[in-house]
Amino acid sequence: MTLRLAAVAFFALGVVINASSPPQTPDFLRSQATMEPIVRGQPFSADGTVTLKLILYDGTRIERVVPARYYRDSEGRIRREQTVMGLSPLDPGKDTQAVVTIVDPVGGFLYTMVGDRREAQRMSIPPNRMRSLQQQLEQLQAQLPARESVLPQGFASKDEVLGTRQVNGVQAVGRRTTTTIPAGIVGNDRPIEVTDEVWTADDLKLQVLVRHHDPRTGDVETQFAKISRVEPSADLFRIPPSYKIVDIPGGIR
Amino acid sequence: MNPIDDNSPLSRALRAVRDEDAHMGASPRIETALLAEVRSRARVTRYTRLMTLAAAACLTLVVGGSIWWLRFTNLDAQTTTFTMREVTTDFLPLPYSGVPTSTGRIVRLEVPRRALDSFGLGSAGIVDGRSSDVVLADVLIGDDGLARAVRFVRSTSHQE
Repeated sequence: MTLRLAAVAFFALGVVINASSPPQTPDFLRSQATMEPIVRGQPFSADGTVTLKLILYDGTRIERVVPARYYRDSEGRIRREQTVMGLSPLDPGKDTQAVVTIVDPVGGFLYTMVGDRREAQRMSIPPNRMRSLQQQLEQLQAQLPARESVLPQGFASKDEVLGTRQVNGVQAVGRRTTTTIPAGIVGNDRPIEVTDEVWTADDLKLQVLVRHHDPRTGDVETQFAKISRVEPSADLFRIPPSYKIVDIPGGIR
Repeated sequence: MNPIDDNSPLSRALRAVRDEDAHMGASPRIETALLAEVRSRARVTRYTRLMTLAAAACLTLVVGGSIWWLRFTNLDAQTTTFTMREVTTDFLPLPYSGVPTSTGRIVRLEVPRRALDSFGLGSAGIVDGRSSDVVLADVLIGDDGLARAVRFVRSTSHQE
């Protein structure tokens, strides 16, 4: 609940800031290459899928399903093989980009391998930055005013506990946050409901199913399946010897 | 004819004197003084040689150390001279910025220069004054792989 509240509050704050001033980003986000939680002693691997659904005004339906692969070892290293989406504002002809990221809290580096380029970008992660997401968000939450006060005026929000159930083979706890945009705020003739539903496997500290519903931008669903708790091969967390390592100056400041 | 006749009275007298003085030597006091003088001069010679060697060694150390120090400081200067720094814009929102995420990472991509125009940065030339067709962009992605925000990056050398 804490995570979700903080995440929603953070993005609500971002919306408020963006609406009233030039684009800004809270310092903790601006300067960090990763907010990845470090989870040790809970190795697993899983297939992931991201599904985007949107119905346009003329009735056109858009649905995209993008696969991913996720690994975590006992030391807390993480490897993600995924397709980044939403890049069309940067390159209209290329909305997606295959990316492999390795977060290595042991070595203190974040590696990124983009597409077919045989190079790995390396950013250093100072030890004092290797805090868990929980700590970061709790600190953020402590700095933020109460959630209701950062929501735009008139917006309402409620949280629900959905209980515990099996999701894709693992025990998960569900929570839902519903934010209501009252009629008239953006010219809408009726209230708009935005919902975020998250099912979390507490032992793995993994969100196995996340659903975001917003009538304005469509639905986004992310889930992990075929979850295996076998220790992944150590080679998955190493940069291939033939790859050139390119240091990103400054790393995480 | 030999100018000196060995059998001459003078020769015989000189031989007699020589034979008579054959068993004579310096007195023990003079011998001791002479030996002391000779040994003293030998010690002075050894000391001088030792001091010369020590001076040469010191000179070698001073010269060698100076060369090493100069090289070390020059290398250090080169390192700091070419330290790379980056100038970045603030993060700018992308279409999926409104989708919540609990984690995020930054991925550096090369994107077409015209991407700057999409964010109102192209004509002002505030990001990069170079003529390359691509610019660097740090893209913030969530754990779902959706791009949330972007900032543009310019690498520049910085003298420290």
